[in-house]
This record gives sequence, C-alpha cells and structure tokens, in this order.
Amino acid sequence: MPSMTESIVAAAASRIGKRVLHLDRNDYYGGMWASFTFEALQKWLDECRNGKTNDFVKTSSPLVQDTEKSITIGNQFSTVFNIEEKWFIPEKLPSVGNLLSAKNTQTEDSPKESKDGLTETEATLKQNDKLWCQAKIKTMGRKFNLDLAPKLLFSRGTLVELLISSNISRYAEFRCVNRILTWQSNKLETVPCSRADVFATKNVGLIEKRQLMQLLTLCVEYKPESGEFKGFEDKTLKQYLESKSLTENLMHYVLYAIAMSNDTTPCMVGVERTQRFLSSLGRYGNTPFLWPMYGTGELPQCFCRLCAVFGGVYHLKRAADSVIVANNECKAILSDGSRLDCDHLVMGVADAPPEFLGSVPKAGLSRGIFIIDRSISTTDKESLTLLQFPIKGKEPITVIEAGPSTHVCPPGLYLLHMTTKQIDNAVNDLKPAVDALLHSEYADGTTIRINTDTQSTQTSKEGDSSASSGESNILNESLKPQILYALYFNCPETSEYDLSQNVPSNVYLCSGPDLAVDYEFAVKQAKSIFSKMYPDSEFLPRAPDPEELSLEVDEAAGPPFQSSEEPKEE
Amino acid sequence: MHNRLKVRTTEAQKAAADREKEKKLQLYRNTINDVFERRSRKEYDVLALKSSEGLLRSNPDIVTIWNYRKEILLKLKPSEEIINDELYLTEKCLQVNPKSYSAWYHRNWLLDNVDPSPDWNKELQLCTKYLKLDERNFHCWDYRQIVASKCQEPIENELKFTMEMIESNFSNYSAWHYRSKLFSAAGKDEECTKISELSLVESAAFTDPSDQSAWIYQRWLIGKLEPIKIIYKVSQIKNTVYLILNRNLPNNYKIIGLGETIWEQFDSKVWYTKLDNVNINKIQIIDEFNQVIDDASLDNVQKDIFNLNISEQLQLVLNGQLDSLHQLLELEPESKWALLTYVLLLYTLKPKSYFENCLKNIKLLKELDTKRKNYYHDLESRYKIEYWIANNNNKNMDDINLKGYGLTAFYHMHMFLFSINIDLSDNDLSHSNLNHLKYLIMCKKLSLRNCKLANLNNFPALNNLESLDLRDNQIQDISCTELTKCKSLKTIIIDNKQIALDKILQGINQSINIKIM
Repeated sequence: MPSMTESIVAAAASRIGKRVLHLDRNDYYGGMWASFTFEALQKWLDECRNGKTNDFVKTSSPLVQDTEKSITIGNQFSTVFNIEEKWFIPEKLPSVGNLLSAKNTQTEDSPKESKDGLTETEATLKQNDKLWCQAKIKTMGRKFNLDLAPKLLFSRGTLVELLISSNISRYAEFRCVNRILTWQSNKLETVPCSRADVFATKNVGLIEKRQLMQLLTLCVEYKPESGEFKGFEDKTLKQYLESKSLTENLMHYVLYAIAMSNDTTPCMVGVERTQRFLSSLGRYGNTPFLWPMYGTGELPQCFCRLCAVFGGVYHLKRAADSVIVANNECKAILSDGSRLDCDHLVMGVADAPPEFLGSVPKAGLSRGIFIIDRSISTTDKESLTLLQFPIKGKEPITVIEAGPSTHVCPPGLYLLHMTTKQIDNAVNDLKPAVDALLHSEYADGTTIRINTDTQSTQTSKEGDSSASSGESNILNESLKPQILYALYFNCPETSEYDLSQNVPSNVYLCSGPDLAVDYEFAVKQAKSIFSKMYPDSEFLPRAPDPEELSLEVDEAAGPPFQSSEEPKEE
Repeated sequence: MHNRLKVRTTEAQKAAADREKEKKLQLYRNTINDVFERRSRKEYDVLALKSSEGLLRSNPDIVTIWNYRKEILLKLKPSEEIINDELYLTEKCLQVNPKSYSAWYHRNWLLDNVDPSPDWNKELQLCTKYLKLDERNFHCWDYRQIVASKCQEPIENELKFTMEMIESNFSNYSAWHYRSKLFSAAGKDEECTKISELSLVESAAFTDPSDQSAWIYQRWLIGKLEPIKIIYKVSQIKNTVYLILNRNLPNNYKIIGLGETIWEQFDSKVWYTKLDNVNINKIQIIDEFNQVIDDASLDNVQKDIFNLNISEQLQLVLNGQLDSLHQLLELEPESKWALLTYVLLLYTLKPKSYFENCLKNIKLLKELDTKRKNYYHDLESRYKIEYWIANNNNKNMDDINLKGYGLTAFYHMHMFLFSINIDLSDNDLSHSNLNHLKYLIMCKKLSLRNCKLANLNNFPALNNLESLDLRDNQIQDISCTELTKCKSLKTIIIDNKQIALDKILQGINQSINIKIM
C-alpha cells in the first residue's frame, strides 16, 4: 500500500535502478495518508465500518512449495475504529416559506438587507446562499480534499530538504502556514514567533519582547559546550523557563507553541524542538511550516510519480494476498492467483499479517475532521493556522485549519483537523478543543447563527466593544465557527515500536501516520529501511529535469521514437 | 536496452554551455554594432526600436542605447501600443537587473515625456507589488515617491503602506526614510506623530537592539528638536555690535532691532554691524511670519542656551523613552545603540546628574565600540564645552580655562569671541581642525600646550593674538609659518624638542620672540 514511508522507499529504490512493483488494494494512493473528496471519504468510511474480507484465503496453493509457508496478509480496515460521524445541519434547507416565518422573529438582525431595497423573499434567498445543508455540501463534495493524516512540513525539515535535493519538489505546491495560535486564558491568541511578529505584536510588552527575543536567540545559538542549560539536563523545559523569570504570557507562548512542548517535556528536548522551530522560520514565511496544496495526500503521490518515471510499476485495486516465507526470508507474494518473487518486501503495518506485528498496539491516534463555516479566528485575509491546544498533563491537541485557497474545501468553508494521542476515544479525547473552539449545537438553518460573511461578523465584533462583558461573551460564542460536519476516528500509532522484531529478514514494515505534526519520522524510517535494503547506494540523488534527459536509442532495435525536439545523443 | 532514460554527462553539458555562450557573445557584438550604425544613420523608426530590444533585455545598463531609444520615441510620436511595449521592455529589464538605474529612469522618463495619458495609479500598484517581492530595493522606493506624488496619493495611504512593510520586516531603511519624508511633507501635528513614531521605534529596539534602521529613524525624530533660544549674546566692542547665536541663523529668519541696520555675517552664527551712535534696546530674531523667536539686550548673556524646545507632552514621552531605555540596558548592557541613544536622550532632557551619567556611558561606549572611538571622543568634547559654557555664563568670559578637559575637537568656539586669555592646554587636538580657532578674534594669550599637535595647518589669522604657548607638542614642520598671519604675535613658547621651529620662524619673521622652555 503506497503510503508515505513506502512511497519514499519505492522512489529511492526505483531511482537507483531497482525494479519496483507497488501494489495497493485500494483504488487511491496513500492508504492511511490519503486525501479524499467528500464522496470518497464516505466510501472509505463504509469500507472501514463493514470491514473487508480477504477473498483469496487459501491455505494451500500449487504456487507454494513444501518448504515454504504462506502467511495471509492483514486487513487494513480493521485498524480504524471508534468511527463517529455527525451532521450539524439539516439535510435540505427549509423552504422559503418556513424561513420567512422564522425571519419575523429576527428582523432586528437583518435591517441592512431590507434597506438594500430587496424584497424580503429576495433577502431570504440571498440569506439562503449563505446557509449550509447536507445536500449542498455533498454537491460540492469534489472540492474537498479531506486528509486522513494532516501534517505540516518544517521549512528546513528533512522532507523539504529531501524534496529539493531529489528534485521531487516540482511535483508539489505548498502554502505557508501564516499564523501560529495558542489557547490561553480561555481565548485564542496569535503567537509572535518571528522577529517581525515580535515587533508588531501588541500582546506582549516591551520588556517581554526583549526577553522573548533573547530566549529565542539563546536557543538558536545553543551549543552543548555553552553551559547555558547546565543543571537543567534532568529538569523540564518548564522549570528552565521559570528560572528565567519570564511572564506567564511568554512562558505559555514558548512552552506550548514554539517549543511545541508541555509541562513535562525535558528541558533539552524542548530546546531541540525550539531550535528546529526557529531554524525553519523565515525560509518561506513568518512561520516555520508549509502545507501541501490539495491536501497531504499529494505527498506520497509525488514519490510514487518519481518511482514510476524511473520504471516503477503501479497496480491499484490489487492486493497482496499472502506472503511466502522460507528460512526466515520472504521469497514471494501471492496476488490474484499469481506468485510474484521478490528480493525485498516493504509493507505498511495495516497490511502486515498479525504474525509480523508481534505486540504492536492497536491504539494510538485520535483524529477529528470538521467542516466549519468560518475560521476559528477571523481576520480580513484567509489564514492557514496551526494551533497546539494545550491539555493539562497530556499531549496537546494538534489543530490545523486550512481554507479554500489551499484547495481542500469549497469557498466559504474551512477544514479543521484535530489530532492527539489516544487516551479514551477520539470523541472524548478531542472534546476540550471542540468545546473551546467550535459551536457544536445542531443548527437548523434558520437562526442567525449561520452567517458566514466574515466581514459582517468582523464589524459586529468591533462594534461590540462598548457592550458589557456578559453580552460580548454571548457574542463570542456566536462568533465561533459552526460545525457542519464532524468525523471522529481512532487509528494505530506505531512510531514508538520496533517493527523489525517479528518479520523475516527481507521484510520491512512501515508505520502509519505518527502523532508528530511533521514528516520527520516517515522520512527517517524510509531512509533507515532503504539503507538496510541497499547499504551502499545513495538515497534519492537529484532526479534530472526533463530537459536534461535524452533517450538512449539502441539503433539495432528497430525504428526509435523520434520527435522533432528530441535532443541528439552525445 | 533501448529508449531508456539517460542523464547527460556533465562534460557534455559544459561543452554545450560553452558553445551557447560563444554564440551569445557573437550575437551580442553583432547587435550592438548594428544598433550603433543605425543611430549614426539617424534611423528613428519602429525597426530601430526593435533592433536594440534584445540587447537591453540581456544587459539593461547600456545607457547609450536607452538614450537612442529616447531619441526615437521623441521623433516617432509613438502609438499607445509602442508605449506599452516600451513599458513592458523596462519591466523585463528590471527583472534581469532590479537595480538598473537606467531602466528605472527610462520608465519614469517614458511616462513623463512620451505617454500622453500616463497611468500613475497603475504604477503605484506595481510598486506595491514589487516591494512585496523585494522589500529593500531603494530604486523602487525612490520611484514610488515620484509616482505617489504624480498620482497625488494621500499621504495617509503611503504611511499605511510603509507601516505594512515595516511590520513585515522593520529592518528597512527605505521604509523608515519614506516615513520621515511623508511626515515632513505633511507637516501636521508633529508632536503627536513623534509620540506614536517613537513607540514604534521602541518596539523595534526591544525586538532587536542591534538593528540600526529604527535607531536611525529615532535619531531623526529626536534630532529635530532645537534649542529654545537662538541668541547667545549681544556685545559691543568699540563701534561694532556683535550678535552671537547658538546655531546657524535659518534662511527665513531675520534680525531686527537696530532700525534699518544691515547685519553682516562673520558666519551664520556670528553677525555684526558697525554703528557710530549706538543705543541698543533690544535685538530680536523673527521668523518668516514676523513671529519673535528670541530677543536679547546688550551684554545680557542668556541662560540655558543649550536647552531644547520640548513641549510638556513630548517631555513626558521622552522621559518614558529614557525609562524604557534604562530597562533595555538592564537586559542588554552592551547594546551600543541603546547606550548611545540613552546618552543622547539624557543630554536632551538633562535630568539630575545627567552630565556625569553621560560621561560614564560615553566611556563605556568607547570600550564597546572601539571603531567609533573618535566619534565618542568628539561627542564628549561637545558635551563638556557646552557644560562649561552653560555653567560659566554669568562669569567673566575674559579668561577661559579648558585645560585638561580631554577635548578632541572644538565646538562653540564662537562663544569665546570676546575672550582674551584662553587656555586649551592638555587636550588631544591632533585630529581637530585648528581653523575653528578663527572666532577667537579678541584673544591675546592662547595656550595649546600639550595638545598632541603635529602641525599647525589651518591655523587662522588671529589679529589680536600676542602670545602662543606650543610647548609639549610634536610640531616640527613648515606649517608653523601659518603663524605669521597673526600680525600682533610677539611671543611663541616652544620646548627643546621643537627647536626646529625656532629656525623656521626666525627665518620668516624676526620680530617674533621665541621662548624655549
């Protein structure tokens, strides 16, 4: 199944001239790293709910020799569980007549439209344009790219460097995450993380600005011999920050947003994370992160494309049925009644036979995908946001919000992804962030709640400055995005387990999506698998640009394909 | 094996690149010759325009070719299409070299001189777009200033734009500079502006104290302050009335108070007039609106001559700045810009024991920023001289004693115009310009003993000077002949090591008595 790690390994092997066959039982690329249209997501959910039986379970086959053992492949869909899907809007919009009666109770709120010279029905229809119903979402379903494993790239992280050095970057487009938010004192705040942010922010005082810059500089320039963190080696980052007598505000920004840590993160781990965060700043934008256009499912496909350019063969909708093993070595796989011999077998944990997995746990990630009607924090421009929602004593909930300009959802909507470590189940694990950020009551489509006009909500926000705090709280509540659709599920997280323990010597298991916000783990794992397979070969050397290629023509082998622009052989 | 992808070897690539380069060079030479021939044949047509296009696109800095195009365009009465093509060409050229003076100029010239209906608003949008991509290209900032004035863009909008640019990266001299230009042009409510601008600078200073751009802007904001007073002293010697100012008299100011008297200037800080029958009441300085800026009566020395004109509101703000700088220095005790600004502000506001504080911090600056040591020495000299003048105002100014002040430069020497006995000994004047002594026209006795002087270049003609002490310097050369300009000079005191001077001076003017001590 060509998910992230497997795709990187496949591209790397193909690039050095190995013959690569890539089988996927699905009709899409990416496995647990895929991005789906709304319709495809529904299909995937159906398959997950129903499970898929392996039709080709045959214990004995003429293709398997006596000395060999055939081991049946695992079932990917059985690894997704606790699926909870919920709509918060009606199937269809209420008719105009219903709306009219509903409107009479709220004329106060829509005087502008009447003044515009529209009849009430016209106004209602206009209002209707801004309302959402299930049918409307479904008709726009192809405009969604819903990620199973939403992740960001550190601008100077290993994946970006790999995409550049291997020349795969031309297959993908990215957008900069343009703000880092945090949740503090029951509200969202923008974290100043670059020099420009620190200069411009009004959230911190002058002294704080200097302290923050000093601390960040200290972390960037940190070298083990400097002695700055002496005595904190076995303490937490929080204890270190406390020793610097930072204000509570700064502590929060640094600890939860910049160091991407929590109360228990060891000091040196936090410093390392801060360094990584800061070293990626300013390369492409004022935050350290990139987000792939059209969703994260694009990335495995980029590597698949390179693999195919160098001769890799792809076969979707075809599964491996069993692995043939002799003398602790994989000889071949059986697929669709054929025996396919191989030197190496790379497979995802989801496909792995239970025998290979050993004690790998099934619990891991709690995921939430939300279609919402506006940004969690509106500004005049569309934002691409990362928020590490702190949970006391636990891993934070990673929240990524992407809007229509990244082609993951239709105009007027936003996608909100939440990921955290599974403790209970996805619904309960994500509840704190959902409650804090989103409006999750059912919206019948007639109330004023659903007004996706960002500008008008902005104006009312500003105009409300004189209102009493009680009223503004109510208003804030109504400014929260409305959930239109929510999907929760759990899936395994295997990044912390040694997957090479129970496998034959030439079989390599790849983890599914890990908890971290970035791709560091997948790249590291791919590199390590590749170096075990081909210890002396270069990992993804730069692929030539099309204009650097020429076709090597064997004159004796018949008339070559000739085009007018074909470069002559040197 | 056939039809397999093969990567071209690097040798092959190099050879191909070399061939390509040679071909390009030949083409370049041929084209440039062709264009020059056309110009000599006075070909002013579309074809001639086309002929040089490729050339400029590969090298946008051939001014001669741009000039040829200007000739063609002026003769041709070009259509809208040609003008647009020409604009497009400059655009392409700026993509090749974004800092091409000639391409930027040509674009401006074209819109100014050829285009009958130039779209300056579009240019402004282009500038905005461009500066978002290349925020510190001063060519584009300059061009923007021209464009904004052409399309009469409201100053507020331009201020807003510079603010956006500064917020995305405040290390941008051009943006700060443009703000200063805009505020100068707007000329409105300066204090209010200063207050909000200073808080911006403060924010930049605390974010990154080592970035100069905001500090320099701050210098502009504070440096606009001028002393309250302008007249230092009005004195009469024989039948000449001298008016001594503390700064150059601005061009639009006038001196009044002695009827129709015409004031002559020694320089723009020292004015005089000869009167037979003097009866001065008051001398006034007025501005262009006849507002009295300052006034003084004869021999009445003004106090607080160096105190600056700061409104109460601004005083509060600057005090706030001083406090926050103090805090910044606690966090960053070695930040040069913070220290220097602290010194400047202390001196501006003159709080209690400011002088000692300034000197202490200047000493620190000399240690931290050794490359600019001399600058700090000179600053210290100025402060010391001003402090001396301010504190000796009421005393008899006949005798001036600045012995051992560590002075490295002369400041305000014109305020010693009437002094007779001046002691500048034990200072380091090796790098100063002795011409500043030209104001000491009443001085009879001057000591420059132990001032590390190596020569007497530019020593002015001091007509009343009788005695000059030059001991403990290293003057050996012919520059001492400058002294012969001082017609009353009777005694020069030198030391044993400068015995060579004796001979040189004796050779020129035997009436001078050289004492060797």
